[in-house]
Amino acid sequence: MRFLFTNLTMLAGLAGLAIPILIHLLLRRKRRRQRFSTLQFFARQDEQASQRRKLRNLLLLAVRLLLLTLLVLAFARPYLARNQAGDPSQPRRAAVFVLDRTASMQATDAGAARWERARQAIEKALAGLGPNDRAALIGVAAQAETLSGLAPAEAISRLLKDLKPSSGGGSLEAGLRLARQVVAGAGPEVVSTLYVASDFQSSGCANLGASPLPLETEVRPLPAAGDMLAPNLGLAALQLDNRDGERPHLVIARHTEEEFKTVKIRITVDDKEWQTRPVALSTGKVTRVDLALPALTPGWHSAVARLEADDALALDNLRYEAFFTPQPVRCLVAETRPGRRVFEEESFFVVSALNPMQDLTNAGGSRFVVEKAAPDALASRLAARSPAAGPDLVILPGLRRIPAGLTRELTAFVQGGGGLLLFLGDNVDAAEYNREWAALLPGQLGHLERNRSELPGDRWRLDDYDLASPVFSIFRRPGSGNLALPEFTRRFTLATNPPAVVPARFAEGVPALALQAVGRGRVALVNTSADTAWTDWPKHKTYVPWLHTMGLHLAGNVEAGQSRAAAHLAAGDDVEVSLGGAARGKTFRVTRPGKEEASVVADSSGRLELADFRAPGVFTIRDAAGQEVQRLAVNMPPVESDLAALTPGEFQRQLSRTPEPRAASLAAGLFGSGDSREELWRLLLLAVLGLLFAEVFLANRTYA
Amino acid sequence: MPHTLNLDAGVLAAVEDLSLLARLVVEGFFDGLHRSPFLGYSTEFSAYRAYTQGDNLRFIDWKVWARTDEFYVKQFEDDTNARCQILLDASASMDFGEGGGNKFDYGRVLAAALSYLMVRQHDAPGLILFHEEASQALPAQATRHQADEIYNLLAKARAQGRTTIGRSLFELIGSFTRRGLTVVISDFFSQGESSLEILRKLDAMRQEVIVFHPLAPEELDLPYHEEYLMEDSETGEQLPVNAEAVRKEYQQRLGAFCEAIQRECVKLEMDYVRLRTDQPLDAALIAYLERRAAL
Repeated sequence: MRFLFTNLTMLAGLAGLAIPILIHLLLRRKRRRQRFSTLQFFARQDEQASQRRKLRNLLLLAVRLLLLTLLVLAFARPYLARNQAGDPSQPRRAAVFVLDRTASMQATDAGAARWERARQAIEKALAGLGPNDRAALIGVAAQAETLSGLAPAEAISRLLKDLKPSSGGGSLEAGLRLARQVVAGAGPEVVSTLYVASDFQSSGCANLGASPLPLETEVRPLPAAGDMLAPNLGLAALQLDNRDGERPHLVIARHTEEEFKTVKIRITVDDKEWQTRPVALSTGKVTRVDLALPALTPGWHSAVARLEADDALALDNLRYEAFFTPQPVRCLVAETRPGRRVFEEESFFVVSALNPMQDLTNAGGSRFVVEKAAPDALASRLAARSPAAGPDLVILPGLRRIPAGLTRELTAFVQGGGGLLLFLGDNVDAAEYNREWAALLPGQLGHLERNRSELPGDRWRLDDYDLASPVFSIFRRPGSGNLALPEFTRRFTLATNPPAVVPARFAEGVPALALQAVGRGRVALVNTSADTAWTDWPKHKTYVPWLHTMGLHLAGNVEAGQSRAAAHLAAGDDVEVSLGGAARGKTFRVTRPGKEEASVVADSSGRLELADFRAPGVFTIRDAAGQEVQRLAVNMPPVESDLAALTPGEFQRQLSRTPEPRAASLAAGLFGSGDSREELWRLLLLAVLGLLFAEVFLANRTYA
Repeated sequence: MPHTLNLDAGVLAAVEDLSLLARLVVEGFFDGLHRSPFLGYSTEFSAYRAYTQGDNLRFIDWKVWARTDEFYVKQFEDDTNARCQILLDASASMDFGEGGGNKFDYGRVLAAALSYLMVRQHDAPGLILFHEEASQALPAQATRHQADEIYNLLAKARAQGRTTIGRSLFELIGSFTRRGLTVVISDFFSQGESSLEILRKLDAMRQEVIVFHPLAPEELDLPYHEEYLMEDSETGEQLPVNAEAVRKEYQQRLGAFCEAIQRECVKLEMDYVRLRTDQPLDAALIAYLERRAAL
């Protein structure tokens, strides 16, 4: 058995023993000499009383010193650790090392790398272990894992040499949870010490109290950070497509109080340097830089942004991006007034909205390629179409008459998966429309209504529109556009067919927009003109995004075959990439950032389970035919860029401990019920109580 | 009520000239009396007696011889003047008491005042300072300068030594062949009953004795509140004393001691006057005068 303390530092309280000694010395009766005529009338007994008093005072001092000593010892939580007698091979101590392997450990501050500091601290602690002691190593990255259970120190040391920090984040709480399991499995006779080698980055120290540690386990932080305020900049985001309603941009995060006024950014797209520019950092924590991408060929693209800054962490100065540029939607627009100036054409607003930079020399990419044709030429164009070159979407303004053969071609086009967008106009003959396009129209056109109000406020507006509809999905975010602003002066009454949906109505309930699926394609009827004759909608901000959304929706069946979305992952995460049911059982080749290739077979659900996508960079996945089916950009989590950290003391304070088990018997009450140790603090407190009574008795005794 | 010039013992102690001090005390005391206590110096005829060989021829009454042809010798009043011996305890225990309450100073003033009084009454004062031995002695004489001699001796006197009574003192007392008045000023703090032996010896020598027992207020009241290391002024012995704890018992023991002396005095038909040294000397002077008057 060995006599040990849980809170060794509490023994510093023994310095308090000086207090009663000082009080005793200061308050000691100072006997003054007094010359007196004769002592014959003083009883000799008084001398004995004085000696007794002196003895009592010394006894009192001793009792008080003992009382204080026992109290301090009780707070230091002494215990007798039981060793299994006669079994010297049993390990006496267990050192459990929790090593922070998150990306922030790659930072260099105060002239040294944090990772090296942590490793050396662990090596030093390992060197202090005896031959019977055992050590365990737990790594904390995106997932905490037990790298080695209890083993001789040499084995841990060897393991440590080959270990590298990850590029992801992580939670020390998960590491502590594993450490607790290791400690629990070490056996009751083992005295465990938990070493935490980390930079104690604030983001990694969240929720530390969720995993209470045993009271008797000592926790010793091994700080790896040389500078708690190490200056750092990081690329928090790089987006070069229009996903999530965002334009292409990058974000630079500043995690320092130091002056970084301007930094240089280099962006490479598809391994070609695209842009090198200085960026003036804003005074805030985040600087957003909007980017304008050049027209890119349809297909997969990769990009890398590099931030040139002399800061603590180099890893977050790189940011990878992968995106897919789809084939543009090919639109065939009927023009009823050809030959005039372009802005007088009926299709002017529609064409301009679909591809605003059409015909411009340095035009950026657009999702739509627009071709105009006279109504009479539509049928032949549709008849001559091929799946590779033919239109994906046909847009018709209000036609005075429906050309011969157009109905047949249109019906075949839509049923084959094409999209049809119909506008109305003054020349439309409702009866002809209803008769000719009964299979296409989502409803029966009635009569033409006119709003003759001169007052703008009295004109018709969209009153009831369904943002859940895919054609209005772009307006779901608050503040993204007010569809109630456009005014309408003319419309047809419209009785929709049962399968049709009406995503928008005028105030009086008249449908403003009706949708219907026909065969594999979709038809939309807009109850207004394609130009500004019936409405001022084309002049409103909502027109272009609505028309784009509408066009993509109608051509959706065409797009679905070729559209891909790149995956954006955080480094270190264990991610399963799912390629859909069609990929099940097939073999794919995954190209890693270092150009290393690996073959992975998709499981029965089309998931690539064994693929490791944890390193930062761009991954490509190709099928057996060599066609790329997915691209992934993996980046360090931006939260790792913020090197703000806790002090070791703050870390200790955030830890929680398991409460004492309730004693079941007197012996357990006195010594604790644990198998591995006998707690002595209760016994000490009992002794303190007894001494307290003795002190009171002694202190109140008087001597003549 | 007589009063010694409103001078308390502290003021008296501050006056170093003992002759002045004695006069101040006595005159102040007498100013308060309604009747003069002085008996007057008498040279009047007292009696005749037959001439015997050896008588001074100066005292033969020649007129009687002329009438009767017998030699008669005249006896005069001066023969009745008292011889007053003052025995002042000069042991170290007497040198105790703060300021004017010092017992030895008090005793010296008392001795000086009595000497002055005696000289004024044409008595013959003598002084013996004693401690372990009769350290200094001035034989009783009825001269005009006797008081000054006494003052000088008192002025030079220092309290020292123990109160044990030695042979020399007994021999000195043994020389008191004439009946007279003896004033003993002592605290009687001695080992055993040696101090009482003086009184018995004086009684044996047929002396009229007045015992003045001066005690300092500190001795009577023990006005201490803490623990002291008491040091015996005569023996140097030390004793830790918690004054508050022992005060009651101490006062009982001291009272018993004083009563024992008083009982002895009563037994020996002596006057016993206990004096508190922070009180005026009136009581002592009255006691003396009453005793002197009875002489």
